[in-house]
Amino acid sequence: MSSSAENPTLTTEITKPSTEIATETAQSAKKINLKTSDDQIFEVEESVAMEFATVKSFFEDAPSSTDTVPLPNVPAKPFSQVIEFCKEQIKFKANPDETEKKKSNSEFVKEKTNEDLVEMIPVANYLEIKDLLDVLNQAVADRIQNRSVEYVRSFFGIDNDFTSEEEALLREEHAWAFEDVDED
Amino acid sequence: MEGNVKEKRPRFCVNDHVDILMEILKRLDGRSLCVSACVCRLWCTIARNDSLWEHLCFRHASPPPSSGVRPVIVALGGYKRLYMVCVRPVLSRLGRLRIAGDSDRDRRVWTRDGVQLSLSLFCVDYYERLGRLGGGGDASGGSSLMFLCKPVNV
Repeated sequence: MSSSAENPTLTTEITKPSTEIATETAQSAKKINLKTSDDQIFEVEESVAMEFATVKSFFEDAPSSTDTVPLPNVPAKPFSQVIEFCKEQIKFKANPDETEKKKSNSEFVKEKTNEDLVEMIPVANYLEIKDLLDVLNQAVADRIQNRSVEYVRSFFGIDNDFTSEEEALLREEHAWAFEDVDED
Repeated sequence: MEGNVKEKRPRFCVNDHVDILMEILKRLDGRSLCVSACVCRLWCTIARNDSLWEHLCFRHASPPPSSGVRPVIVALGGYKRLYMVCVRPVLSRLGRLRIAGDSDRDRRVWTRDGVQLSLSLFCVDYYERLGRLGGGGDASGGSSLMFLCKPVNV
């Protein structure tokens, strides 16, 4: 059969990239300590930490100056979720697959509460993780899409600073937008 | 201080980060953008920003119109008006035509022809408004583009 002739080439093709991946992980096994604003220390693989542009430039500016990088604007809770995201992202760097990446991103977002998402935004912003910021902005937009004004306010914890007359006028101006919004 | 005890840590306030807020609002549809305008004063100002409406008008267009159309659209009334008067009714009509099997509304792609059509309609809208401002035309005043919103028997 012709399949027996194809087999050897197939196996060499598979083994070649897998050895490359193995050496890559061996090189990047170095760990970096990151200290959050609430004084928790995260030991993170260097490859993950380099996803954070802010941390990366910290090391570029002062190579091997400290063992622990302080992250004064980053609380531990959202940070642990950000690390979770970046670990997933790295898998796709070695093996790009847009459909799988999208699937993994939407899985990541789906299981997060509104509060989780909103708290991760400033962390992603501070650490300059563009991919994550895009994912979060889209996820937040999806969650306030078709919702009422009151829902959006409580989602972000925003106070209504209109007078009742102003608000009535605005609602009149945008009346068409208030038909069939989703239940809160 | 005591009043804030229940808030253990300062919660992230999106209103302190206008750039992030813009990015979020940019991803809403026109209807939700109008709802957003009623959230607070800051959101109201941002939701009137024509660059958001510009993004909204042509984010489904492939290829997007050249930047040369911008001054023309701004002169004829701006992107928000373009969206309200031309893009939205046309999009919702197209949406009604292909309800079957089309669950993903955002996948809808506008060709260059779709863009040209909406721009032509916008010119008609402007021309009619000119007539009304000059005192000409009949007093009933309704825009002839209303046919886009109402079903027409041909």
